[in-house]
Amino acid sequence: MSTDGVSIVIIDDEPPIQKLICVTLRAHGFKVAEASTGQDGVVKVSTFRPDLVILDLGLPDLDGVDVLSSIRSWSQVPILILTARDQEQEKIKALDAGADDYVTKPFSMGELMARIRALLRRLPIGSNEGSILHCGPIDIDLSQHTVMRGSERIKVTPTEYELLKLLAQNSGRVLTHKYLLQHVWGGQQWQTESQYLRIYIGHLRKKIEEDPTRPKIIVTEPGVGYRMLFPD
Amino acid sequence: MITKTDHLRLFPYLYVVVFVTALTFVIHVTGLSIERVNAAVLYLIPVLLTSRMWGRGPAYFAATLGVVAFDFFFVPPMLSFTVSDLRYLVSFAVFLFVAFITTTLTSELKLQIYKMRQNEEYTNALFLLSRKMAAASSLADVVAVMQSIKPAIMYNNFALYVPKDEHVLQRVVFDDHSAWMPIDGEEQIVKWVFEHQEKAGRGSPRLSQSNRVYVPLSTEQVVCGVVAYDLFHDNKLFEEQLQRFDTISGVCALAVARVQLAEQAKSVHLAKESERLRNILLDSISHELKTPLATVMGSVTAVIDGDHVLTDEDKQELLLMIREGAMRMNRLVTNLLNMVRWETGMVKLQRRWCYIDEIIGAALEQLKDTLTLHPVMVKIPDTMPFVYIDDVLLEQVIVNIVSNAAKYSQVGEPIEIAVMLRGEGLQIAISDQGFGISKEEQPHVFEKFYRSQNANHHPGTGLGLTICKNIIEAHNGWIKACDNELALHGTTIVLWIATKFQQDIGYEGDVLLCQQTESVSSLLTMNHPYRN
Repeated sequence: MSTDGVSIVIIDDEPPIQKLICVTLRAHGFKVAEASTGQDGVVKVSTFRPDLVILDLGLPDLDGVDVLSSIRSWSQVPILILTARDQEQEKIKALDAGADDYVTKPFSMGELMARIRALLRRLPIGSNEGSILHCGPIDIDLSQHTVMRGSERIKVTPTEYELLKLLAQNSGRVLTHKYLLQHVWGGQQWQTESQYLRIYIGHLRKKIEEDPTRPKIIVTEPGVGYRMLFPD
Repeated sequence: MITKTDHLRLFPYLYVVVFVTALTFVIHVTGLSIERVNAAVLYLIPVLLTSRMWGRGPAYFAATLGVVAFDFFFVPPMLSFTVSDLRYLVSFAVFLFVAFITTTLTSELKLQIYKMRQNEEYTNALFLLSRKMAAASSLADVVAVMQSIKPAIMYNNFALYVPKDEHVLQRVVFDDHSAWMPIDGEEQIVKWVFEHQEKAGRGSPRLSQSNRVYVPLSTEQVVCGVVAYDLFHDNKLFEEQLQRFDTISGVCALAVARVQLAEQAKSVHLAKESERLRNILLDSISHELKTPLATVMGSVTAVIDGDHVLTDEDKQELLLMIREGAMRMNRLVTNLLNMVRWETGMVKLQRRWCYIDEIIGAALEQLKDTLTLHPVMVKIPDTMPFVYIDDVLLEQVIVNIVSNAAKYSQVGEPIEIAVMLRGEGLQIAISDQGFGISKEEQPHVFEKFYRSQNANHHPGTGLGLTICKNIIEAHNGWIKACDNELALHGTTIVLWIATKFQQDIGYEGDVLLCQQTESVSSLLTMNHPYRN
């Protein structure tokens, strides 16, 4: 994927981290703008209109989640959260507030780049109707509602299909339990219903994973949700 | 106005009137009055019974009423208080004298019985006191015991003062029921009693007007506090009570002294223990942080300064070393932070319904780099229900144990994870075929900063298993290390956690997608278990 001309705003108050990310992203051909406070970040995002925002949750002036909500109130730009807090509640709070994905510090550059690519690859909803989604060894035919592994057809239930499609359309991104339940089941009481999700993920894995106990396609983000990976 | 208690107090007199009237009637009807001496003696019956039942007042009243009735009805001239024969006056006097003496004797007997009962209660209470005090392990226990004997010793309330530091004595606050209102200057009184080892308050030269008694708590060696007793206002057995306070205070003093000594010993032990931990912590951290830091700094400076002499391969190798060093430091910091979170009670369990295979899968995914050199076998029953646990924390447990298993075994040696339901919980056994842990060391590997002798050559802080133990115990479970019995050498870590179970729900209602694609959209809306 070409990264030329793709612009990214980094909102982080720690100069070393900022510099590290800047240098790496510039080397990969991104255009980068930096902000070290939440307020400055919001201004930069509104003036630069970037293709992606990297936001640190621990900022000196504003709470990261507030910055997030502020940007989300007028922009759908993908937002990647950097967090030193490895507490699931914080991550979920940020994801529910509109963040698209998160990376926990300390992170490897490979991981960060993979997340950025996944977010930039995301297609607008509805644009891929009728096409075929390729998820590693699995192909999902959206017009035929079929799931294929090579030439072999995998039998799935309607709910499994919806779940798989949603994960595949957002491949590379983490989807929270709440998000998946709301979009597949339309459920409101997502906390009490999260067993459904686990059951269906379990069955899907038995059907599409080589070793369901060590999944390679649908991976668990403990306490947060699920992410579909493309086996490289 | 006549109150209820006044009623009760008047009743005996009423009974006496009824009794004497009835007796008079009976004497009259049966003709016993012909021999007047008989009648006079019969009038002693109400006196005796009354003094036995109601005490002196009603008994005196019965005696007087008896004489009056006898005089009025049976002494000639009948139905008049006049006495024709003056010798009858002597009889009256003798009658009254006998009645009064009997009453007094009976009352005294009654009082003695009362006192004996009191003594018995007191003896029982004392016995109970010494037995309970022997078991008291804290000042709160001592106060609780003192509370429990309050009714038997008959004091209103009490307070236990113990020295807080060299100058101040502090009251042991126990609960709200024993609200103790300090009188003016009580602190000074208590301090004076403590310093002079003399009693104060009622019954002693100092503060004799007070309604309280202050007794120093002293054993042969030490003075350990002061007990203050608050007395009832209408206190009767005062002398005996004062002696009892001495006895109780003596028993109390022994208990308080013992508790204080135990606390001192404990704080000395704690101080030693915390010093030991601090030393280990410093050693461990300085070693565990400085080693990777040295690698990182060395490699980085090598890359920066030696840019022109290093080949690309050399640089790559140095960079890998930097990554390894940084990861090691990250592990240490994470472990330390987790430890602090546990010790400060910041971790709260968040139980959720989970699949155990999913948790193990996530743990193995996290360890995939480490585990490339070790085959991992996972054995989970097919019919595994949902378990109600904190998935994030349990994953951490599995990561810690499995990474240990990998760390302490040779390349290629397998690791096995076996899950089963056992009793009201879930058991997980993680076995390796590594160096193993000696039987003597097995119970200790979960202690903070403990490193096995075999592990000395490997980097580590001795925190990983401690964190596991904390997590498992928070789940009301247990964890232990034993020999891997299915292999020649190696260790098995067995853990059990209490959990509820839930079988699969709602999946059966979902049909497989059929061949006809037209009907899919209708199936999608119809067959959601959630909507059913």
